[in-house]
Amino acid sequence: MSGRIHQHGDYSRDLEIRTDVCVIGSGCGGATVAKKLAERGHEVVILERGGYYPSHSFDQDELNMNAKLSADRSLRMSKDGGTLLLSGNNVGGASVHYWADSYRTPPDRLHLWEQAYGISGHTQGDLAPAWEELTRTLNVHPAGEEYHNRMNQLLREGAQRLGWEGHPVPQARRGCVKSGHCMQGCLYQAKQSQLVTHIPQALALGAQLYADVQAEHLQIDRGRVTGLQARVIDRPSNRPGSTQLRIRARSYVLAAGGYNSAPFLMRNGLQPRLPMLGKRFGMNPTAMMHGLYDEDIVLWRNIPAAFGIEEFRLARHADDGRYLEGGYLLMANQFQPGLLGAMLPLVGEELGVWMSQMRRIGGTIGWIDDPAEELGELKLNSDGSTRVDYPYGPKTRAILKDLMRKQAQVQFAAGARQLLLAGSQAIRLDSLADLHRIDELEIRAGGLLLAAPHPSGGCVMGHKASDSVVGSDHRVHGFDNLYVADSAVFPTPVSVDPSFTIMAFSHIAAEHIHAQLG
Amino acid sequence: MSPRDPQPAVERPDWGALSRRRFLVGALGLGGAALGGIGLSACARREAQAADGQPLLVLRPGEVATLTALGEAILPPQAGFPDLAEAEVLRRLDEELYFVGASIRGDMHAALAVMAWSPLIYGHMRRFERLDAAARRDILERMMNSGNEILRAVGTNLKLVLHFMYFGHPATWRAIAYDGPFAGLPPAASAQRRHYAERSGRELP
Repeated sequence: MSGRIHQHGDYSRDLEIRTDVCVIGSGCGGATVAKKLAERGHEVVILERGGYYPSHSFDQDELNMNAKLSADRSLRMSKDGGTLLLSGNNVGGASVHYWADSYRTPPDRLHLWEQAYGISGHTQGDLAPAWEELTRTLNVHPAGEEYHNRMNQLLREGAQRLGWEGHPVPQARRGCVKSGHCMQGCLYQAKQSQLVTHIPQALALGAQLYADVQAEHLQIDRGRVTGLQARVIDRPSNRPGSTQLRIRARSYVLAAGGYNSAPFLMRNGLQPRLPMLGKRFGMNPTAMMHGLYDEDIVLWRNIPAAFGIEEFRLARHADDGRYLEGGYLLMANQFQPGLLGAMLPLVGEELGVWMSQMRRIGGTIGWIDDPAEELGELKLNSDGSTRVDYPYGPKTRAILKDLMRKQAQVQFAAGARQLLLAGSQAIRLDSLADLHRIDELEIRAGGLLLAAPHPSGGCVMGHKASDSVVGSDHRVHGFDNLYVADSAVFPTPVSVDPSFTIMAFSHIAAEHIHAQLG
Repeated sequence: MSPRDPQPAVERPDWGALSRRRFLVGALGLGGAALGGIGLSACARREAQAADGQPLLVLRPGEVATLTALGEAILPPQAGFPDLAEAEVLRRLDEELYFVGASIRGDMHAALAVMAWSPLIYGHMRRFERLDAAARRDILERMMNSGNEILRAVGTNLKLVLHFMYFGHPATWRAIAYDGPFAGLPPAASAQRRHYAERSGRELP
């Protein structure tokens, strides 16, 4: 019998639900693990704090869709106020507003995790069956030529002129109409988000999804979770209501996302048992460079990142260990007008001059691979809210500066007439001779306009509670039946868009949970 | 899924509980002024209104004055660009703040208090909205490039949210030659948009 999605209007009284598995979160981690466990014949319940917004309700309005799909409406900042924290808050999680870039975990990163952090069972060979299945299910394929908008074409030309390695970015899409509204949710169900793939597949196998439900208290008896108390959110007001759900499951899977999984366990008082909770937190800070071109770019149409420059994915160091360059992916940017206006470091008349030429504004964006030695930490404020403490250490700052320099180089090689660094200062570059302005830039919180859409860590995987939160079987140390299946388990950031890694790891997690359930 | 913070029905800036804000006020030597400003706003509790004449649910009268003054200083002045009221910037910002976590609302109230009294740092003995537009722009730019982390965050983030709401509004699109959402659908009123409209005494188009 098929399951269904329950939502705020459906909860007229308290409910007690018995099931095999309770999954907290419906994004790339939760939806995937739910589908795999349902395939194995287990009863699965998925809880989702956010609302259910089917694709046909997407109106492509930038503000309206940001309100539906983005946690705290994209107004959450890091502790220092310098980085915009982006995540999903809806059925399907961040996959509903993501760019659909679907890189497999680079072999060097899997090797690092195995050798330096003692992770087992997540090698290339272990993940291969998951990659094959996910590639088929989500129709992952390199972006074809027709999906390269003018900015992506120019980026490719610039990279070729500079001799930098780059490729079409693997995309999870089927029948894309090039609307350019990936970040507003895909009205056409072309982007293969969890909303249109693993969630309906899990429901077809009998899983039940409860939207507008906030997981709150784990009931714990020594090393076993015996129940979960959750509260219904009144969606119209977005405030917790009085209706409660009590879940009795044999296994519990935390997949609330990189910004939420560790804080959830902290709020449940588990920090003393799990001292690594919240630690080794990364977030792929992104820095941007806007460019003014002599031709129409129309940055807001077609897919965002058709071509990616991978030349600098890994940081390069001198023999003495000194950082030289790299440590990021570099891609074409995409904006609708609200975000572009916000990210231009201009006010008043100058802003009007630039925005009047919006059709000719192009731009690039880079995701930095947070250095493992300078990761941040998730903590709780006194009111229980989450605090993101991210230090921007010296190497991180050097990487950001190099990223800005490389973005300038490739955009000038691509024909940009003038560049504008996305920062609090309106730093303009008219030619490569102005690169010294980047060298002179002091990288500090709020100095660059940074966004962080890819949280990782906080419940890292490892050997034991002194060095990690979960083992290689995704089980929380000291618990028989509590698992984590999202980006929180990554010991370091992935160095590429993490969604495909999250899903492949969830395949592995599902096998371990299945084994425990018997 | 975001297992999130509890949200009380009414939030006031919790200056005592948040050391960051305490530092902010103390470090800038604005303690009396900012707290006075907060106190006045809190005591007055008169209803703030948007340009549409209907009540705002989160923003307070003093904050509306600060935001309006900031908006006038940083929006494009060229012909063809709508003003703050036409683009319904404060109405939309108020709506967004109504639905976010309490700690974010608290941060916004604190940021607006700092902005209101920021002229004291730069040698003006009056509130932000009583300066002329050039002086307001100058102060904002000095804040955005300040050596003080909190001033930078306040200046940069207020600019960011105002411009986000402004250029997200269809009234601005003609001036920037943006052809609008691809499908050309009318805006869909979500349950939250309807709830906010009802609470603020408005009808959605």
